[in-house]
Amino acid sequence: MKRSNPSITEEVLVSRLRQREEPAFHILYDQYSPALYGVILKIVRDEEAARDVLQDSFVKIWKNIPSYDSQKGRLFTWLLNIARNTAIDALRTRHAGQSIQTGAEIVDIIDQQQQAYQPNPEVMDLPEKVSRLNPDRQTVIDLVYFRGYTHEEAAEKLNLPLGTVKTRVRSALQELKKLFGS
Amino acid sequence: MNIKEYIESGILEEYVLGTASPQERREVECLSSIYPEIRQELDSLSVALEQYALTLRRDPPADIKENLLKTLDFTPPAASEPKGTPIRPLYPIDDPDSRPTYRVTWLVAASVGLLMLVFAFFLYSQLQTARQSVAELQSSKEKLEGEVEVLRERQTQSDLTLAMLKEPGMRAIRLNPTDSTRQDLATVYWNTDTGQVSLEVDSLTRPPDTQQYQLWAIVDGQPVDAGVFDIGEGTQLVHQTLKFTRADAFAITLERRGGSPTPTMTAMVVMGNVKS
Repeated sequence: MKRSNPSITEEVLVSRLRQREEPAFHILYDQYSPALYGVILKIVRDEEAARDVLQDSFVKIWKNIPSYDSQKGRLFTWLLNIARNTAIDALRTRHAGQSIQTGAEIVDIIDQQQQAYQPNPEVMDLPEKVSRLNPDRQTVIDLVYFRGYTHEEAAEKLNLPLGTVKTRVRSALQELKKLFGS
Repeated sequence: MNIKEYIESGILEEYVLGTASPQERREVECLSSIYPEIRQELDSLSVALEQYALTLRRDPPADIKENLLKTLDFTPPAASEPKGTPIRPLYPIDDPDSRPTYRVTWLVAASVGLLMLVFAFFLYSQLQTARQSVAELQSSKEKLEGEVEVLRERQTQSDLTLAMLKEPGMRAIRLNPTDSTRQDLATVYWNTDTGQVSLEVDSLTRPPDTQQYQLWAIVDGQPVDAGVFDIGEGTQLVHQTLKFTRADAFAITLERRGGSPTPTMTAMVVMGNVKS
């Protein structure tokens, strides 16, 4: 993880964020907002919506930082999950007003929207490493991680047995692990 | 449990992707805190997703940060516990400063310190008193030594006087004041065998520096010079160098310093007859 301010440890940053120090917010925002914004954009696929989601995400982060527990997980992962969940919630809320929908219907709507969405070439231009990911596995990861599909929803969507989806999800993550050499 | 099997079950992937059920989440959190292998696998899966997310990086519009800086609360959180049911630790927080043994220790230490201070002050005042006593004793010792010296001197003189009086042929002639209103008094010790004349001044007024007392021996009705003498401190014995084998009386006159060849009769102070 690249740091814009290498002199400060994550532990110190978190404790200063809990003290609501404005300089700490600057460090947090400058360091993580591009990645969070990229993930949000990939989920909501709308720059206007992504703006709102990013802002909402940081409000939540600011409010919930006292309950962040480094024993339970990495800070960046925690931040990503907040942004991802906020984005998925925003996506679902946007369509909830239209009709009462089942999970599968939402999936369809999202899917339609995805097709209607004119992808920004810059956003879609994933680095070579990610493009080397097996396409089947990347589809599964994107559905589950960036669309918020449950494994069952993904299985239904891809017309695959649940066990196959689970296997692919696991393989996809293991492959990512290898790709990024962690 | 078989950790390897658990890691390979796919539940950790579900956890990091956020698809695990709440019960599964708690299970993973619990197990990962117990087994470092599980924790390590969770972290590397998280890192993989983080790296994936980093590839999507895009700079957000600048005004979002401005909005957030206006919206967020940057006042430091109150240090006090939130209102409502106060949270009490199950076991008392081990605050060393408030433990009874520590408080007692502090109390004892403070008391001992105070006692030592008081004792030191007591010793100091004792020392001062002792020093004062020593100084007083020193001065009184010196005074006594001085007195002893004086007494010894007098003793010597008395011994000499006594020894002289014991000599055969010694006579003591009391010289009485010629002026009965005065207290002048002197004694002449005259050894008729050797002719030695000594004079003991009992009380004579100290004369001015220009004058001196002069002793006269009256021999055959004529005054003969028996020497001048000075009045010292207190009673003293003056041995005159002139010797007389015969004398009828002795007298003392006040003369100019150095003495006179003939006595000034008007200045006669005391006189005593040998035969009286």
